[in-house]
Amino acid sequence: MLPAAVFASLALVLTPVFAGCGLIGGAREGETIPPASVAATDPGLGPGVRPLSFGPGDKGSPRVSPSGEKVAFVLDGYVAEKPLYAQTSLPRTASDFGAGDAEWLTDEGMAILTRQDEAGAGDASTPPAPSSLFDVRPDNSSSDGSSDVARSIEKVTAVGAVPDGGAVAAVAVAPESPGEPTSSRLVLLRSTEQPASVYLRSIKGSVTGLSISPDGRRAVMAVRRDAGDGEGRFEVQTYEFSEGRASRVARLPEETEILGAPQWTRGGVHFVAGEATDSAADDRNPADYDLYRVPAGSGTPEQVRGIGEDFMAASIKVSPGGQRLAVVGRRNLGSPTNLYVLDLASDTLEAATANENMEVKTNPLDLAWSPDGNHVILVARGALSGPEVYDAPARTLSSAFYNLYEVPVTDLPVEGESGS
Amino acid sequence: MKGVALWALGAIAAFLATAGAFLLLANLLGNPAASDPIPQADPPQAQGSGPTLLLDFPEDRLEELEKRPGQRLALDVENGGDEELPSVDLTLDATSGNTARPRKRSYRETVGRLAPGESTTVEVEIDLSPQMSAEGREANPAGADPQPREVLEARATTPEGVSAVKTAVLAP
Repeated sequence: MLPAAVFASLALVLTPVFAGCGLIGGAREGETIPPASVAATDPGLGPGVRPLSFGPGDKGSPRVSPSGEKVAFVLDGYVAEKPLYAQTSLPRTASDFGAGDAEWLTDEGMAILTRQDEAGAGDASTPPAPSSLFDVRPDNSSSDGSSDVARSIEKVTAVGAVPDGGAVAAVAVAPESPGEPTSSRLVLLRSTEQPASVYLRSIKGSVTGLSISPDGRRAVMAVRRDAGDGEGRFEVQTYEFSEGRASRVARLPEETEILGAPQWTRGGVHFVAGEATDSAADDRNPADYDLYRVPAGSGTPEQVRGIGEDFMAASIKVSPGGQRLAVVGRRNLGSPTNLYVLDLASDTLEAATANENMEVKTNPLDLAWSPDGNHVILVARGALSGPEVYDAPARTLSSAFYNLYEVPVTDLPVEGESGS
Repeated sequence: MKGVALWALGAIAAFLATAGAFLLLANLLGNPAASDPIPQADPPQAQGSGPTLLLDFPEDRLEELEKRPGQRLALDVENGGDEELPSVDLTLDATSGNTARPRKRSYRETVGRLAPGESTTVEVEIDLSPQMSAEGREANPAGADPQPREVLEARATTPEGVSAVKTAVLAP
């Protein structure tokens, strides 16, 4: 009896001590972004959606750190990071960096890919424009964003995140003679302190999109192969890291392009593809692309029927466990862009957002899972047809500008049952 | 023996309670800016009696604005309280939505005495022309939104510290 009473007293006394140290619970009241359940306003994406950033600026490419504690994103061409639920972010690069994507390394450094030239962004008729990959050390959050770049890799065409931190880059290899077809090699970056590992066996073609399987054992790639007449055909290839070799999973018909990176799931390789190239497509009106799957052991892509015949897919990302697929798209031509989650075991589609009047970014880079698989992060802003007036300072506004939103993706209603 | 142990535990508990209280005090009094605070909305204005400022942009005037110099913007200011306001300072910041290449133009006006319930409209001539690069093109770093939304943030403040804020976001 006595020891129990003493321990209870100690627990009561120690709780405020640890809370004061920040070891229990979040930061002080008013310092963090409130959960969606207590937020005053619905940002326009449905209940439970929580803004993760505020204020002006074109944000994109959100990435949650492997620990789940921080989020990094590209803001007007530079990279910024912040604790997940803190409001203020710090720049990780100079403001004129021209960043297009950023991936976390194991030491919380970052691998940052410069933005591709829009003119050569990898459709079926043009090879992907190579970019440069830099890595920035973890202690580099200076107030002015002036960065010390640890190293750089040139001619990078695609980057994929390793699930527990790190990045794999596809690097274009210059042909030895003018008539030779292009090829690529993979380079693994784990941390800013470790040397990069180069996988020597080359990949035939130019890698336009790359992701890593949830178990980290293989890269899944969209590869553009030269057809000899200046045109290219897309293939889905995998690269087994333990064996150090690439395998073709499927070859797509001519004039068909893969959008973004194929994803390795428990139901096979999934990818978004469609006719190249709808130049009118943008974030508000994504191109009419479909979601395909190549089942394990099959070399033939099949359209995923569980999402509906009229579904227009724009970007996909596999969950950390590999059982679910986040899909940004539209149920049909007249419906708004929303985030859906495809349960791969049951082939059922669940709506995660209820878009009222938001422009959801549809670039494959603008979609990310939280490491625990409970949330998906996307980027959106309110649609404006004219001037909009708000009762708050600009720095506290979320839907007025492109900002990051955390969408809960557990216990979602199955499409068709919710009436949406 | 049991008494000594109880005394010792009591002393430890008292020490930890005191330490915890100091840590909590230090946390509460610390600089919030150092730990990425969520910005708080301006303090709510007093309800009912007391000074209240109301500020607004007439929306029809906002729709007429163009991205060039010499734009006339109107701001409506109203004393919504039941006390006279001796003066109201108005600040208008016109900023580009591009944080990589921030361009901020600030304007200030002062409104004289405002009786309870009285309102006035203040006209400000503003420059909404885009920032140009040395080559004469619209300055826009690689990767940034080519058409950022223009932001007009207006703030009205009285010498007594009563304030109101409105932000207008203009579609490109």
